Amino acid sequence: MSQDYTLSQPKATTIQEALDEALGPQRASVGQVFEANSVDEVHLLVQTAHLYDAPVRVGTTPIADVLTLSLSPLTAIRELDSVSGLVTVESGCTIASLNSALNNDGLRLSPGYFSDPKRTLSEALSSGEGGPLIVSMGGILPDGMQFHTPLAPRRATGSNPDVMLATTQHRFAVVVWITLRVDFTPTSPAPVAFKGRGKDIVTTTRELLIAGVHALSVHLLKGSRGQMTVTWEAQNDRDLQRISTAFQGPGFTTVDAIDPIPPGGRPKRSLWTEIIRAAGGTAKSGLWVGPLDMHGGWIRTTTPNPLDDDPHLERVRMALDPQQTLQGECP
Amino acid sequence: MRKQITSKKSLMLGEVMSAILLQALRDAIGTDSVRDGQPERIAYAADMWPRTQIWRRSSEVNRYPPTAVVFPEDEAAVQKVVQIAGAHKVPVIPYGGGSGVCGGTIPIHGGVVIDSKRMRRVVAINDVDLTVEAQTGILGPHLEGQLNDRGYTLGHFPSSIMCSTLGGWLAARSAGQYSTKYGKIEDMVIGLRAVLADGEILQTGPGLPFDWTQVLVGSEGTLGLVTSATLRIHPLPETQLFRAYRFRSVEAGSHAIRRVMQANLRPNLVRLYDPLDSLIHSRSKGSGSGALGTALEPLRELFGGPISVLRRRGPELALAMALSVPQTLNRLIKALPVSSLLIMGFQGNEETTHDDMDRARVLLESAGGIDGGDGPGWEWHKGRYNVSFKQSALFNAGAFADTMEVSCTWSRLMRTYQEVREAVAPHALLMAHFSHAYPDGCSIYFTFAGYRRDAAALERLYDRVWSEALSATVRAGASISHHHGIGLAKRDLMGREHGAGLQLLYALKDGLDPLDRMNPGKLLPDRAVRK
Repeated sequence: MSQDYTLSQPKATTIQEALDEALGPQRASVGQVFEANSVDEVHLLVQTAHLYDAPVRVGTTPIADVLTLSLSPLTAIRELDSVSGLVTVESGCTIASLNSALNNDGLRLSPGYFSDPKRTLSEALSSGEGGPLIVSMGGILPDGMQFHTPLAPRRATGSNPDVMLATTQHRFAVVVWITLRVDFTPTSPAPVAFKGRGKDIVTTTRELLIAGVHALSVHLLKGSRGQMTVTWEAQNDRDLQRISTAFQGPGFTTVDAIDPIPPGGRPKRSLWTEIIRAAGGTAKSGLWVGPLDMHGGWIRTTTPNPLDDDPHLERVRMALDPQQTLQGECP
Repeated sequence: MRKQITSKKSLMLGEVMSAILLQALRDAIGTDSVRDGQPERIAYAADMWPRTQIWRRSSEVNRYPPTAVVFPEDEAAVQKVVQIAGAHKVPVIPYGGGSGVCGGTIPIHGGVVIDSKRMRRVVAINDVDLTVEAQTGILGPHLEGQLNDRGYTLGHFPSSIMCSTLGGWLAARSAGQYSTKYGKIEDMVIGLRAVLADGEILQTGPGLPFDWTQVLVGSEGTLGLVTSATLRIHPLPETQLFRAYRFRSVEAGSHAIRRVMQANLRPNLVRLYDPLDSLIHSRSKGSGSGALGTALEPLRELFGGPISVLRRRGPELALAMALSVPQTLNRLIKALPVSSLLIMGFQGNEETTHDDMDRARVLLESAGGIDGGDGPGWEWHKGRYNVSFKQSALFNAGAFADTMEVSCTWSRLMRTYQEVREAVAPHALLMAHFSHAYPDGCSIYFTFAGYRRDAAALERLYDRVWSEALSATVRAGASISHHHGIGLAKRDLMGREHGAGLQLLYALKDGLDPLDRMNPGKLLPDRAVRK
């Protein structure tokens, strides 16, 4: 049986020679940052690192004895499928650039899922943002193999591999592109916002959502002295009417709608009990909850993502990458 | 002679080991909860995978018997069984209602089948969060009934609901007939508890840093046995509306569905039948393509005299003869002047449901739909759970019927439909309907039927049809399963579905079940195939 020796028995004798051969003279070196200009270059870098037992981290900070891989140049929109409402974009693209390109085609990112518009998709996904919008991802495995997860609205073909990539900060694969669901820019009414006591705002919002009011986006922002603001983007005039009626009571005032851009931090999926507790508790102002649906929503938390504390995840990682070629993001 | 003696020794050793294993299981969870009689070993050797019906035709009723079947009543008992099986180096295979159609519960390496149906308790219903926690052995109607008593619905109504469990739904990423409104089971589940291969309990839930829930859901018992799950529930709908529309083509109908979905309307039911399925639907009063046993009726319409003559000689012969010429049949069907039937339903409170239906009606009619009233929808509703029980007529006739549900984006939908049609048409009668719609895509549910005189040839034809259909699916850029799962039926296509990304799924298996004790041989191709 024939065997491909090109990978297992490289001609170069040092990793620097191998990197020069794969990527061009002095483009990449251990201890420096490599700016990948294409997905193929990411593949070549990781493959070479794997063959020579060199660790790779994703980021922009040089680290001794590590190949740092910057995805910043990977900003292309690879495909805009306006029939299906999907965009495939490289992970170095910023949220702002992506939204701007989508707006030109009558599309937008669903509001409330991404925070700082200057962040890249790679950074946003690493902190757990955008999860429900992910349909497929393309990546480079620890051995340098390129792959992408199946592209379909739903699948029954085993565990969802996207969740292994979305929040794990390039530990299982370097994520080089993502396919996201996008919204068709609505012709619906302008957003409306109401202010009141936190508990009352949450209770009324919950009741409306459970009663089947259609909203394109709903989010809560806690202010000072236990006050809270809810901003609704209603789907149509009927639902706008229902929302406005519900918040006509004496405890509420109409205020200007705020831009649905959440603060940074990790979005933590929360049920109503937790949201009600947070709204009525002593949490300082600035608590953000959204997007919301009839079963709760995402609370933004500043708690770090303690992936390293998960022994099961570590076992899976060691099975995939025993050499530990991929070491996640730069600290 | 020497070989024979060795095999007798092995047999004796095997029997001794089995006896020790059985005793250990009985000591741990009680004699009444452990069975190893012939009836159990036959019953649990197969599920509803149509291929096993072909095996039965050649009198192979017991190709893969388990060593024992156990009936734990709680998670602690499951834990004990997994630990004992691990100590005896035998596999464990989860079993719910046995309604799977991909061979996912067949004990191909023997071992202990864990039937979860005694774990059937609703643990808690949370009226604030709108969630239910239940043990995974609970059958669909029992879970839904208890929720209904409290004014809620799960919104999960697979056609197999009468004979499937929560655990089975989670294992295979099941979809109910109302998934367009309520989502698939993976959209409903927010947390679960599972017994891993080493007997450890893994609890998942919302807000944890890593989403283990979506790793275990769909893993078909190969990573762990899910013992309980927490799911989203909804207030019972006040009203249900249906409306049928006729479209000049499948393409026009699918375009209309897309417009509704992308206008942010969420019907609970969307079913678009292709011409043959539309014809069968209208003849079989609702049960649609699952009622292939009634396929003679539209075929009689198609062929008039000849089929009638054959039919007088016996319906089985007529059916077999018709299925012997699939290419001709499919060509004739393609030329049928039959339109495509779309049934759409909305449910919820009175006010919004009528309003949503009105909004959808405007979109459907502007896309060329001709209003067919609410009759077809209610007819479908009457027979909506019949589909799983009507295929035996075909198997009795020496034929086979099977279904393949694929998933794709809207932009790849028609290509997928056409490629699969062209690939299967030379070999089997084929029809399809489109259901489980999303803003970004839809599922296509193909039904095919074929015939060969002898069982071996029939099995070869069956494999050929599946191979052609799945290859065409992959070529068209669709996913090979939307809600039936993989099991044994499709595992060899997983490499083409996931590409090099299959390494991620192997890593999950190696990390959580390094000795391959949990439902081995399912979901993932054998390592040799992988290489």
